[in-house]
Amino acid sequence: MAKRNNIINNIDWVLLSIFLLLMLIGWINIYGAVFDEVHPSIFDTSQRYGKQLLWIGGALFLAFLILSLDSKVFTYSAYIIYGVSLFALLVTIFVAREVNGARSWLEIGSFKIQPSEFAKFATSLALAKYLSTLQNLKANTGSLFELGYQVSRIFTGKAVFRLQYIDWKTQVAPMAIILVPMILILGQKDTGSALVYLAFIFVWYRAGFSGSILLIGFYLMVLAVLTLMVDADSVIAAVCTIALILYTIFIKDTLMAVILIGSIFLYYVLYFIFDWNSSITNYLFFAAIGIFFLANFALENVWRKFEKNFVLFSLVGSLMFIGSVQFLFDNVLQPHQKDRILVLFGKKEDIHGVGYQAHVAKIAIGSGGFAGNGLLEGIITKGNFVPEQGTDYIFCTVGEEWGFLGSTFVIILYLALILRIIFRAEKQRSNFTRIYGYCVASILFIHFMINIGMVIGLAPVIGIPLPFLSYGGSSLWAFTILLFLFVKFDSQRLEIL
Amino acid sequence: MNPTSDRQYVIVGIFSTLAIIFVFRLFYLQVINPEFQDKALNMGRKVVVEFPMRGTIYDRNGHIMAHNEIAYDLIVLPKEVKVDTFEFCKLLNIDTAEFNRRLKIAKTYPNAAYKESVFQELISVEDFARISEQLYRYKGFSAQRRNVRNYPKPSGAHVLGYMQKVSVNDKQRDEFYVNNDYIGRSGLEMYYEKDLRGVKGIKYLRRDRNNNIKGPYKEGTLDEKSAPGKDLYTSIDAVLQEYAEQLMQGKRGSIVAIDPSTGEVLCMVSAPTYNPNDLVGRYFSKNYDTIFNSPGQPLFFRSIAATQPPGSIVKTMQAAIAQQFGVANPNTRYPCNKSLVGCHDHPGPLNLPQSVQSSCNPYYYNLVKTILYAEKSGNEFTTIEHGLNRWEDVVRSFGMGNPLHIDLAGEKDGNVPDSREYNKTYGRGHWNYRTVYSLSIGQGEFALTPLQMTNLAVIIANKGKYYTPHVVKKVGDRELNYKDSVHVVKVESKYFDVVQDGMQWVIEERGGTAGRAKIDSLHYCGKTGTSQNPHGEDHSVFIAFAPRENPKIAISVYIENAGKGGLWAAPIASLVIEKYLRGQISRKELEEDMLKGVIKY
Repeated sequence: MAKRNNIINNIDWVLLSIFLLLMLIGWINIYGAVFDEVHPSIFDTSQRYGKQLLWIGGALFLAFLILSLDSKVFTYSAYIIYGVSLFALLVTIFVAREVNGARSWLEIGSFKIQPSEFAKFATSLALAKYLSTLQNLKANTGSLFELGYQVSRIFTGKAVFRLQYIDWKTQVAPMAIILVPMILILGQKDTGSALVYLAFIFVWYRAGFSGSILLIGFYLMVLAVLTLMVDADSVIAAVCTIALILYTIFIKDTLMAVILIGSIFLYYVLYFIFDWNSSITNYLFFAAIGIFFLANFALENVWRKFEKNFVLFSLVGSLMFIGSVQFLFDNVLQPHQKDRILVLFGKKEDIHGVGYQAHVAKIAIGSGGFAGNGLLEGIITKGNFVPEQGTDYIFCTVGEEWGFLGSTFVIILYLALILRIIFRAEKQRSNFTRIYGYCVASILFIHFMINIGMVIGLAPVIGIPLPFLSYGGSSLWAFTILLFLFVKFDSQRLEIL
Repeated sequence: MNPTSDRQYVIVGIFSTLAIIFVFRLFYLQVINPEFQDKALNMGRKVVVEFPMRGTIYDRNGHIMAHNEIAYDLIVLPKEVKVDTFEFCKLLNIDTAEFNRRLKIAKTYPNAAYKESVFQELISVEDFARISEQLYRYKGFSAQRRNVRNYPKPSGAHVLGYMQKVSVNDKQRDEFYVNNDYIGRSGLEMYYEKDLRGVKGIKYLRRDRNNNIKGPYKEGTLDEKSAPGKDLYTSIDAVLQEYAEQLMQGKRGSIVAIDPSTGEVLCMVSAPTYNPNDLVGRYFSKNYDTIFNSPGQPLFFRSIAATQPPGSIVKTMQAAIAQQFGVANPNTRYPCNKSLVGCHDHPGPLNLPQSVQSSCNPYYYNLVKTILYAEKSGNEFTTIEHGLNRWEDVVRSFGMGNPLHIDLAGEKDGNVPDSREYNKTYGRGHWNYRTVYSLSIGQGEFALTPLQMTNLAVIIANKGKYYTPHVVKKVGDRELNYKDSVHVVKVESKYFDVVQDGMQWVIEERGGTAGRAKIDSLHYCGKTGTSQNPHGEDHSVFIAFAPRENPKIAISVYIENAGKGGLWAAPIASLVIEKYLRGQISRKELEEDMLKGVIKY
């Protein structure tokens, strides 16, 4: 039987090992990425690789500190920490100097810190605390979906707006906890860091909010991608996909649902993973789905089962969404952001201008081949072809110097880390620790998804770091705190009865 | 139990699916699609080729005949180009339209914006000195050192040969060559291409995003060292070559001189000729067209590629074969019966050496008839068929009808007819001696290259043997061994004495056909020939070797449409012989006549 107070016996050594391994891989690859022949020692603190060692030392100290403190310090002060971080974010907007178009660094003397990195664990703590105090989560299952349904009734004249449709406690407050820091970070013009907060969709979902939140989220994402990607075909895409969703929800024909979701997935795989994008395949695909649904709609008995209001709402909503995506793209996004999206979808192939980074990153990854070129042997890495290759593009170095084997190993490590956190979270008796665990796993996942997706050409260029690998003290320390708070809570799970 | 705990599997599923998609994508980028590895090398690695110096070509006395001059290719990397077009064009003496045209070529397949290609080739050292000072100001342009041929004396063009830019075919056949390389296209340059060209060096360098060189790629372990081409030491006497070319000015034809004791070619002239310096470098194509289109086909290497009926010079060979076949001896006489074949006036009947001296056509009509009927074989037709083939076999042993395999590109084989050839033309049994008699006096289907004519002189000089004629004695440090290349003809040595007697009388006795070729106090042998040709005046032919004892030079001179051999060919041959043996000419008047002589074409 494990002793309650012995931290050594209770901490999760798997998480600790993966954490140490990722930091080591990061350090070695930063050495490979920004190697300077004048300073060949990996311990040379005038170089980034030497400095990273200092950051790693600091991270270890932070981890030790968290593990030795009482976890109640964090649970009790969750809202205070959250408040402080919101304040820091707000201050940053006004005092920060602009770097690469964003105002996200707070400078105190020679010390530089990025509050948005630390706001992630603060928001996680606050959200976990708030959600774990809600008593009747079960009763509110589907609350977001319910909200949407009521809005549609109001729009179609079937109902009038009443305030009691909105449950402030379960619907508005949890969203506000996330939206406030997100908006503040957007105020810093740091789109990438703001996007990370989408991670909390997974937390909501696991905490008991309607399942349609993931479905709708995925649906909207697909819609947005298709709108930007296929342009004129986007309406067809919308109609097909709406029909698909309705079909899966109302008809409850599992086989058909699997076939349709499968075909959308297959299409996506062909399009992105194998760079297979011709307009003919687009038209064929959409035409096939359209014919399929027309045939189904024609069957009277199928049609009767639809809730007409809902169909109408979804259709109008989808079309409005498509319109607003196009509007957002045309009028709100900054030129460089537009370019990044155009480059991702192959609509702009300016490999010497805006498309350069995405182009050269793919080349660097591809250059590694199966087994990689070896440490300090990456020809693209050594020629400094990849901008930001020590920080956001560190995975290029992994790909080029360690090849398919090395980069797959790193992907497996991340997946193992994330799944281990979920596994430990599910073991918790405390709602708080479980929800916090999901926050950690989701945030790590979003970083992993956006960063590596960007490097291998599956996501637009969004500058966020790769956890534990990218160079930089702020992000390393923030991720260490994020992770080790969970390790600490997890080690004390037996104390909660 | 938490009511929504099943949802963990949905989340785990989504996370895992994405990781799997990433692994598939990585597999595609890193393992399936090789394009990125090529692009990475193109991007991060600069390949610097070190062009080796081509081998120098020397004459037999160590004079340089062909060597190299340094020139520079202006290289462009289109994606880097940032220049003030106006200034840059002024520097290169081109206009803006031309600048844009070249840049466009550099960007289109097989070139590409990210690949280097040649913008202007082979800029001379003088011009480049002016450009190189400014070059640093023009981003995207760099220089590559090349070398081009230079010929100190504008002679020996055909023997040396010319070089041309490689074709697509050349590049496919031999991966040594890349765009803008040059390859030997004729003469020695072509025959010894692989020795002359040397070994290219390749340096792989790492470069960074700004195209700065960062150091060797893989510590230089993949680099290849260049090695200069091998020098050629030829047997050509450059002074003699130049003199012979002067003698051939205003005439068309060939002079080939060989040292009979070794087979070494002393000079080889094909007229009209051209200045080899004209077919070099960037003006090649312009000059090539001019030379190609000028009268008399200056690019045609007559010495080894022009096949003509040799005319009476083969009577020397017929006289030797007749003795070998036992159908004649030195005292065999035939009357000059002009009803058989035309002849000039001379005393008669003649014996064998006198027939050579006077070049009596009816004599050889009769003599070769006895050769062809020497062995009875069935009926009259099969006898001549057999006789002709027997004769043809011996003639081929004289190096006729096949290439002599001289070390020059483009040698022709000539023609020695056998019975099959006549059977094909006339049908079996439908031809007889009247059909083939012109072979006896070196006309008809009989055809030789000037080189083969000289070789006949070599064989008579050596009394029945010759060495494979060759131009190069030594390649780099390697001496070429031609001692073992001795060919012995199917006529015994002793039968050549009478032939030599006759040939000496050709020059020295009254009634000889080449009295103008006499050289004071030098006993040597020669034979005139007149090659009939359907297109105009007869070709003037002469073969000789000198001195008679211990011959040092064998020569053939053939001049198109210049009439009888004694008129032009023999005196010119005698001048070359005198020049070679004595270094100077005593017969100034004759020399002047020959130098100034112009044949109208």
